[in-house]
Amino acid sequence: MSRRSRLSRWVLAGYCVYLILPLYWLLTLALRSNADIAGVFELVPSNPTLANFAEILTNPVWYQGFVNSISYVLLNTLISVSVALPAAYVFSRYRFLGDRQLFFWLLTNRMAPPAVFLLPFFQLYSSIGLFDTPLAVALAHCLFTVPLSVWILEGFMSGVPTEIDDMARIDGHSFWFFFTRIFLPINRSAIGVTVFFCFMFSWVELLLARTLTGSEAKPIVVVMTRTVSASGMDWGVLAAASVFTVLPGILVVWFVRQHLVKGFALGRV
Amino acid sequence: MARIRLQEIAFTYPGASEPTLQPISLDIQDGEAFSLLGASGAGKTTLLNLLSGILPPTQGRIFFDDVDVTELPGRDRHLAQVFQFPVLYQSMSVAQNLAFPLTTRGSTLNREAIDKRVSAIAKELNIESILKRSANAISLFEKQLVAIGRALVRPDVSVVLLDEPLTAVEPSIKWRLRRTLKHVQDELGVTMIYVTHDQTEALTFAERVSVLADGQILQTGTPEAVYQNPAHQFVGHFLGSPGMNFLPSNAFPQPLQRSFAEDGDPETIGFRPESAGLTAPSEVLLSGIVETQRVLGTAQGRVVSMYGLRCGAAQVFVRSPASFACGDEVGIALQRWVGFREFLRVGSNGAE
Amino acid sequence: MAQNKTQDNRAWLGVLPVMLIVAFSGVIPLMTVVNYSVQDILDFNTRFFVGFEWYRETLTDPRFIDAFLRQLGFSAAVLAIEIPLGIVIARGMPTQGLRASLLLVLLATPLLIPWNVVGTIWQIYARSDIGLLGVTLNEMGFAFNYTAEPLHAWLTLLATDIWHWTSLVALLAFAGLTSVPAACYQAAELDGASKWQVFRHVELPRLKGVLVIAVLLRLMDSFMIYTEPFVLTGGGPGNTTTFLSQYLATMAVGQFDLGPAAAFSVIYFLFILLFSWLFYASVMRSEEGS
Repeated sequence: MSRRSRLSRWVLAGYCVYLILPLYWLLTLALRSNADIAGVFELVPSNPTLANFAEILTNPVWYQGFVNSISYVLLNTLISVSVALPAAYVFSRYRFLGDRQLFFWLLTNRMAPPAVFLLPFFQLYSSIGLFDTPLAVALAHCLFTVPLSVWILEGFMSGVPTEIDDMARIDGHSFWFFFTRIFLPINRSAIGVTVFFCFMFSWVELLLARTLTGSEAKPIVVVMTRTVSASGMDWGVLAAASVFTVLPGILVVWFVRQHLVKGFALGRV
Repeated sequence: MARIRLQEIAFTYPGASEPTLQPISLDIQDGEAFSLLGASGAGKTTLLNLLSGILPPTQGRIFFDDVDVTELPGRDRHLAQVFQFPVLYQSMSVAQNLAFPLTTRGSTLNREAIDKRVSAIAKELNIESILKRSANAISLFEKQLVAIGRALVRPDVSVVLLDEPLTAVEPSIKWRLRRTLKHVQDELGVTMIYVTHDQTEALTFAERVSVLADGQILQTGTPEAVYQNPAHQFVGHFLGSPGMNFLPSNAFPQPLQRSFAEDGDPETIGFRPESAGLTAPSEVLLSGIVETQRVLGTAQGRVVSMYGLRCGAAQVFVRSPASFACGDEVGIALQRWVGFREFLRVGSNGAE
Repeated sequence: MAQNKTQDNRAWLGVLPVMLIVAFSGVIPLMTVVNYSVQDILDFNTRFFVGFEWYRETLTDPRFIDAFLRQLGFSAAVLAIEIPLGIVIARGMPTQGLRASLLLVLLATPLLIPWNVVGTIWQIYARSDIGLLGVTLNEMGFAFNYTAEPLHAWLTLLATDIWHWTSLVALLAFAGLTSVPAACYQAAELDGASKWQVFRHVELPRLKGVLVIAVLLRLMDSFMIYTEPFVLTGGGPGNTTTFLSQYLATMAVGQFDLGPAAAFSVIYFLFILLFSWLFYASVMRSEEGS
C-alpha cells in the first residue's frame, strides 16, 4: 500500500543509524582500557578487554547501586499499580461527586516539574526518617507514576464492556472474585503497559533519586555521576556502567512490545 | 461505463495449497446491475480485490471494454468502490468529498464544471441539504450516501464496485439506501457490481446474479432464473428462507417416479416451500407427518402457515393456507420441481 | 471515558488509596513550597512574611527571563524537528514480522535509558578528544567543541534530545497509523489521490488525537529538561544552556535561597499547568469527536 513511501523508509533507515552509532560507540569504549581510549582513536577496538565490566561486577559501590535502583523501581511499580487499579476501575465504571475534577487534578501531577519538589521532598522525607532509603525514592516517584498508571489503566478499562460486570453479578460471583479472576486477566495487557511506563519513569529519573539518597541507598545513576567526579575521567568504567543501565530497558521493551503499540494507540502515555 | 470481462481468472494465495478462486469467466454488460452472492468465505472479496487491482490474478485476464487491464494498477482502471463502512475524508466537507475524485490525477476540469457535477450527483442522491456540512458531522446513513456519491461523481468511471454497502446502515433504513442505489443505477446507467451475502439485497438489486461458493461460480442468471431453476443444489439451498427442499427421487410414490424418469431421470428432486400444496394423504402423493407449524400471516383472508413435515428420514418445509395440526398425516402435492443429477448433502457454508 | 456509567459516590473508596498517596507525595510538598514562597527564611527559626515580594523579584530577575527565553527557544526547536521527523519515521515502519519487532525495540530503547546515561552516551560520543562524532567532525575540518562554543553546545543538546525523544513521537504516530482502516487507503488509491493527498486527507486527520498528545508531552517534558544538559554541558559554556529546571535546582539546593526558589517553583508549575489544561481540554474534545 502507499503508506510506506520511499522517502520515509530512507528517513527511517537514516534514523536507525543515528540511534545506533552512539550506542555502538558506548559499547566500544566499554571494551577498552582508559589508557587505550586516551591514546588512540579507533573505530573497532583492537585490544578488547572485559576489565571494565569486571570492575562493575566486583566493586560493591557499583553493584550495590544496581541493587538500590532495582529495589526502588520495583517498590514504585508495585505501589503504583496496586493503588491505581481500583482507582482506574471506578473512574471507568462510575460517576461520582467530583470525578472529572479529581481526574484532572491527578493528571496535573504528571505535568509537575520534578525540580519544583526537590526541597520539600528533602525536608519531608528527612523529617519522617525515610531519607536515604529506597522507599523514599519509590514514594517520590509515585507522584508521577500513580497518575500515569491511573490514566493508562482507565483508558484500557473503558474499552472493556460493562456487560462483563453485569454478567459476573448475575452469575452470583462476589465483587472480589470478579475483580481478581475475571476483570484483571482481561486487562493483562493494560497492566503490562502500565508496568512498562512505571519502570520507564522510575528507572530513568535522576534528579529526585539523587536528592533523596545519601550514601546508603545511592542508586546506580547517582553512583555514575559521583564516582566520575571523584576519580577523574574513568571513561571505560563509565561506559561499561552505562551499558549495564541500558540492558534492563531493552529487556522490558522486548517483553511488552506487542502491547506497547496498543497502549500508544489509546494515546495514554 | 464499460463492459467487464473476466477470462479464466483464478487466484491462489502465495503458499496456500488450495486455490481461493477457481478459474472464473464472467461477462458483465455495459450499464448492468450485477450481483455477486455468496456466504462469507466463498471468495467474493477476493474476486472484488482482483477487479479493483489490489491482488494480481494467479492466471487469466481481465478486460474493461476489450482493454486488457490485468496489469494496470487500480488507480488507472477508472473504477470506484463503496465499502462496508462509509469511507470519507474526515477533514473535508461533504461537497469537498464529492469533488475530490474530480480534482486528482491532473484533472483538467475547471471549478465550474466540478461544481456542476457535484450538485448533479447531490441532487440525484438527495443530499443537497448537507453539502456544506463536515463529513464528520452527518449520520452514518448520510455518510454512506456521500460515499456512493463519491463513487459516482467521475463521469469516466467504468464500473462501481459495492462491497456489502448496507452493512453499517441500520436495518430500518436499509431499504431506503437500497432504493436510492437502484434509482441512481437506473438513472445513470453505471455498471455496478454489488457484492453481498444477503440474498434479498442481491435479488432485488441486480439484473443478473452470480452465486459463489468455495471459490467457484455455481450459477449466473437473472434473479428469477437462479431462484426458480437452481443449477446446483447449493444455489437452491442458499436462496430462499427456508431454502429448497431436497429428497431422493425414490422417496416419491411410483407414478411420480415415472414422470421424473421421463424428464431425464434425476437422482434428487428439489422443490420450494411455496411450490407445493398440502392436502389429505393419497397414494399418488408424497406423504409426510406434520412436525411443526408456524403462522406466517394471512393472504386473501386465509391464515398461511409454514409447516415442517417429516418424510421418511428427511424434513421438508411447505407453505400452505391449509389447516393441519401436529401429528397429522398429509399429502404433499408438488406444483413445481427441479431435478438434480446426484444427491449432495448441502450444509450452510457451501457445497460439499 | 465510557458512556453508560452509574452514579455512585461510594466509588470514592476506590480512589482513596490514590488520593492518599498523591496527597502525601504531592499536596504536602506543594503546600510547603507555597508557604516558603511568601516568606523570607533566614534559618528554620527566623522567618518573615513577605507577601508576593519573591514573585515580583523572580519575574523581573533577568537571569530568570533569560533562562525562560532559552527554554522557549529550546522547546520550540525540539517540537519543530521531532514532530515531523517522528511522523515520517512512523510512516516508514513495517507493520509485521521480525523486522517490525526489532525496529520497535530499537526505537523504544532510548526511552528506557536513564537520562543521565543519555547525557553520558552523548558526552563520550560528541567529545572532540575521544568521541566518534567529535573526532570525525574535527577530522573533516570543522573545529567542533561543544564545551567551549555556545552554538555547538546547543546543537549537541538538540541532537541529544532528538536522539532521546523522537522515538516517542514516532511510536505514537505509528500506533495512530495502525488504526487507519485499509479501506481508507484503497479508496484514496482508487480516487487517484497523490501520496501527499493520502497523507494530508487520510492519515493526518486520524493522527490528530495522538499528535495532540505527542506535541503536549514533548512541550511539557522539554520544558522540564534537566538531566541531559546537567551531564552534558553543565549549563555552559557560561549560562548558554542553563534551562529553567537547572536554574531552579541551583537556587534551591545549591544556594539554599528557599523563598525565591519556592516562588520560582510556583510560577514554573503554573506555566506547566496551563499547558496541561490545554492538553486535557483537547484530549476530551477529540474523544467526544470520535
